[in-house]
Amino acid sequence: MCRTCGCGAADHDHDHDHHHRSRRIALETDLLARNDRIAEALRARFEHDGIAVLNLIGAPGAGKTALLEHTLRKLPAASIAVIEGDQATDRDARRIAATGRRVVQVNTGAGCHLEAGMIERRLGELGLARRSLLFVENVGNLVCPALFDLGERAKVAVVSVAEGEDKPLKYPHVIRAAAALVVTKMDLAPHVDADPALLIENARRVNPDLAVFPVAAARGEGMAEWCAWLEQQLEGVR
Amino acid sequence: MTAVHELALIESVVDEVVARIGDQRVAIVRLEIGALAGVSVEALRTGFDVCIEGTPIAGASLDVVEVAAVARCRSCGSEAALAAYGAPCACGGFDRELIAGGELLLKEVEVY
Ligand SMILES: Nc1nc2c(ncn2[C@@H]2O[C@H](COP(=O)(O)OP(=O)(O)O)[C@@H](O)[C@H]2O)c(=O)[nH]1
Ligand SMILES: [Mg+2]
Ligand SMILES: [Zn+2]
Ligand SMILES: [Zn+2]
Repeated sequence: MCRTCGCGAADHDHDHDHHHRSRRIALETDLLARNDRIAEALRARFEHDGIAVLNLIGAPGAGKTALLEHTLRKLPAASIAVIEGDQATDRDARRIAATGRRVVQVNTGAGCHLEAGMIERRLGELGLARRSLLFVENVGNLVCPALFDLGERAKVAVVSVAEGEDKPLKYPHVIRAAAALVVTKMDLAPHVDADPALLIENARRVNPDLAVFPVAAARGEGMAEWCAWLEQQLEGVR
Repeated sequence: MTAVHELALIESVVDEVVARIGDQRVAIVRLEIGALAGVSVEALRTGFDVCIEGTPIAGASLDVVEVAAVARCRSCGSEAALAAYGAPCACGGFDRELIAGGELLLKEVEVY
């Protein structure tokens, strides 16, 4: 058998034209097409049902869950639910549940990001009312969650001040894809020699349209502006 | 080591190829990947063989056409190579729209 093309003849030259030369078939499909198809269907469903979905993306430990815990307490009247993505455990879901809101935990195992199908499978458990805000806390990772559309209204990048001013330049894809950046742990800035203004300037170089919210979630600084932006997102679907 | 999201991309390549060409034998899978697509071409190449083992396209080889990044500046209108997101235009502007280099495309296959 020819080891190059697998035909019955002995090994032979494949550089020239002959009867079983390969044939090209154009496919021209985005590599993310499978995910994108599900995401588009979700987006249509969210739009129809009046649900504003925000996909939170940041490194492990950036303060995503803490931001959510305090945000949920600051918006008592709004209908809000959370999908928690982590590789393992339901620890974050329990933190959210303690605020009294609906939450489902998605464990991805070895998976480093959430995909649209995971949202589609678990959405029903939340029983979302019209005019709800749905937060998706993505798996802690600044790289590939930026690629996978979850049908969200907007991606929100979450970066803590202690991660370094050049973080937005080192991980530009998520900053580029996001509509908003929350700079967390502002209370720590003086203690870690961080320059939040430079971090924000770097982020705006990557994405000039970014809305930026520096916050100290537990202390409450910056939370009013962030919550006002969230209410705007909710207005957008009404 | 191949990152998991490159593996996820290869899985969707397999699904798409099988769905589109049926049981024809695949010699080459050709992808077009932009320099700023957010995907490691190295990781795709490393993971491909293992990832397609046991699938209908097992044995196919991977050909990646890499596309350089080009941006149009919204301040001055000029088009120029973009080395990285966040790099300024010659005019000093940062508002640059990517016009090439974001490709993440299953371009074609060669079948016997
Ligand atoms: N000082 C301070 N610590 C914070 C703040 N937000 C989160 N943290 C701490 O950072 C750690 C990681 O937070 P967590 O919300 O679990 O991060 P996640 O992995 O992004 O969800 C925890 O120990 C939090 O208490 C903040 O605003 N200020
Ligand atoms: Mg968390
Ligand atoms: Zn991933
Ligand atoms: Zn310019």
